[in-house]
Amino acid sequence: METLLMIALMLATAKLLGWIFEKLGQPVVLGQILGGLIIGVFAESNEIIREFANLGVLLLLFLAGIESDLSEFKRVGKPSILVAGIGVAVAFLFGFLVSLPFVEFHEALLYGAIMTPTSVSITVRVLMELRRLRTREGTTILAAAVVDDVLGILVLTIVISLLREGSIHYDAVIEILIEVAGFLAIFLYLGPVLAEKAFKKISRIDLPESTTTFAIVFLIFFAYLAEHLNLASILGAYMVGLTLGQTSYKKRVESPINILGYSLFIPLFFVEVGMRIELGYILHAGVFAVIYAMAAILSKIIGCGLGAYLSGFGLKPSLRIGIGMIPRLGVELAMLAMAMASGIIGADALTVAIFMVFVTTIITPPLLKWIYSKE
Amino acid sequence: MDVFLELALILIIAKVCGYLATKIRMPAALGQLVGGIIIGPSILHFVSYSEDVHLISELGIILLLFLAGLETNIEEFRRVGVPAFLVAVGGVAVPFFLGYVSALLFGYSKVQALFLGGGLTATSVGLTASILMEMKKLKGKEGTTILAAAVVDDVLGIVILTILVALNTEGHVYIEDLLILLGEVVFFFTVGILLGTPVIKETLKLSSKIELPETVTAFALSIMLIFAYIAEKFQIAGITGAYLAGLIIAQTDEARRITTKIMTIAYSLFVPVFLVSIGIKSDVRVLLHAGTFALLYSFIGIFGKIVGCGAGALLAKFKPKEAIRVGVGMIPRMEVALIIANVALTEGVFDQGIFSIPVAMVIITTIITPPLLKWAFTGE
Repeated sequence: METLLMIALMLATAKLLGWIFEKLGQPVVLGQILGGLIIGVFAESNEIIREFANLGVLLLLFLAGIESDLSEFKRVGKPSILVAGIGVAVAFLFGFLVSLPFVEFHEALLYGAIMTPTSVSITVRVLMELRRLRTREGTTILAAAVVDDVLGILVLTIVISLLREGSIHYDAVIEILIEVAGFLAIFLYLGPVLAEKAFKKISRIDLPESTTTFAIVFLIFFAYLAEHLNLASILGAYMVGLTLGQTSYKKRVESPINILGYSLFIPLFFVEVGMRIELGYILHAGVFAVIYAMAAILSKIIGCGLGAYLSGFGLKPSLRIGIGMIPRLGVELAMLAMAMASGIIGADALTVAIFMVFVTTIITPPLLKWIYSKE
Repeated sequence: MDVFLELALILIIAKVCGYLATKIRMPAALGQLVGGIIIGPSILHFVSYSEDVHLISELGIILLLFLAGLETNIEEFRRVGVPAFLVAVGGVAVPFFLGYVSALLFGYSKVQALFLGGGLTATSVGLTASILMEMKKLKGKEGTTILAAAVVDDVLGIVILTILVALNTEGHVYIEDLLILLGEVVFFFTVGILLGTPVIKETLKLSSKIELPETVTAFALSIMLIFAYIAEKFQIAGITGAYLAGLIIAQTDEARRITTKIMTIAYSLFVPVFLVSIGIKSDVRVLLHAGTFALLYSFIGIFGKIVGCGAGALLAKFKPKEAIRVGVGMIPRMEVALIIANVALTEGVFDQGIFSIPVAMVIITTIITPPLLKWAFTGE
């Protein structure tokens, strides 16, 4: 019964602190993590709440998948692919290299992977404020973010799978690459057609919310399957969302899952992440945390900026795009939680990574405003 | 991850078996119960019923009663106050008396007979609420009476449990203890309504200013959870607290919006899990060696509520048909009956053999309620 009270408290905190951060022009998620940090001082979460939070992660990635439009991938031009691709590669390299002196080889790989995906929601908001979203730079950033999400999830999936195998050698890398490719191919080619057929059958069950229930069932099933194939469960959740997004049932599934996710499971997840942070570790890993955050910022400016420059942007616009791609949020945290759930990383890595998330999201708006003021 | 897989299996069973039940014109809840029994330990033993599934099922019944509160027509609720009281009292007295006497006749000791009688008193309204909601009869006169009577019944149930325990351990009951208990219950309801109403209104008003997705729903959920928690602290069932929270929110401007959102949340995940879980927890193997008295006892459980609650309803000038509907709606027993049986077991009043009698009764009343309700409510 204490669990019920705990959930109520976490929910109220999530919404209140999220709101305050929103008013301060900061990302909601940061407020929720901070709320979790505060609750964590007084109370501990338990096994059940953690499972609820994990369900929140899966729902979050499902929604990310269902919202991303596959046809947008086709429209995305070369610039965005270059921006995202080089950005991810450089970020991975930077993250890996700066971690190497501090942690072991395999952990450094993970630190590299965590650094890869961008979350542009905060950039979008700033650009809207500046009335610069509907520019060539703005649309490039938006499109790059879509590609970047997928690349990030893939990189992390591959690294997690490698770490699970224990030893890192070529066979394992190739095996995992084949598995991931197979998973993607099956989903992208067969997924939408099969899902359309399955949901046509399912929608004959005229009980309330049947389609939603089955969306959850598929989500769980493929997350489990991905996990079972030694891939990350988030890949399964994301792909189920992406696939359902291609069917005619998109609308009917999206809004109920939104309600279920955002009224309960997703806020619980972000607060729970905050509760797991060990503040002591920040002081302990001070130097490393700061260097890591710096690397996160520089890697995107350099990587994404280079991608933009190579695809014909001028020096200054390239810099703007690079800065716009700095922030890390949502999906990264989901990945972290999954990595933690599978025992690959501990609270220390989580703390360092969250420090990086805070720094990158807080620094982006002033940086963007500054670079745009220099026109 | 296996936990989630179990959850997925339960969800599939819920929707598929529920659907099959509606095909033979039965409430979906019946299919879900049977589906639960099939995958549960009694037959296939597919699921282990983990902590998480337990919490989801718990939240399912809480959400169900919260929804019932949200959907309650307040005017109707005020009107059925007296009838509901009569229904609850009749529904407690008649089964208790019949159970007690028949247990004595079958040679059980006086204390055992008292506990057996007590086990028949408390209705578990969750199942009825879900079926009436499915048949869209919850808002009517009978539905509202059943819900209100269940609140009274819940309070009577605590009183009876307290008396039984005191009689068994001390040999007599202190009137002061009962008064304190009743005082606490009254305190909960008065403070809950007088203080809860303005607090809830202000909280929801504040939350509607927060422009994050689903904030009002999240706050409604928080309020529901807090009420359920506090009710439990006062030894009242969590679902009664949730029902009260629903009733209060029903009177705010946000009620309609909240109701549709909570419906989505409840029916996509939590309520189906709750209904299948009842089946999973019912180990039907108990029925095989529960003996003849268990059958008689279950019959008294069914018959006693129909007669007792029906008589109460008739006294309140309900038509005979309405009275039967109310009586049938009050048949299912669950948590409280099992709690009383458990107390009796740990206090050494029951042995394993007697313990299986109320367990069998719970299973039988649960399974028989959906078809009986369907029958009672079809044909005007």
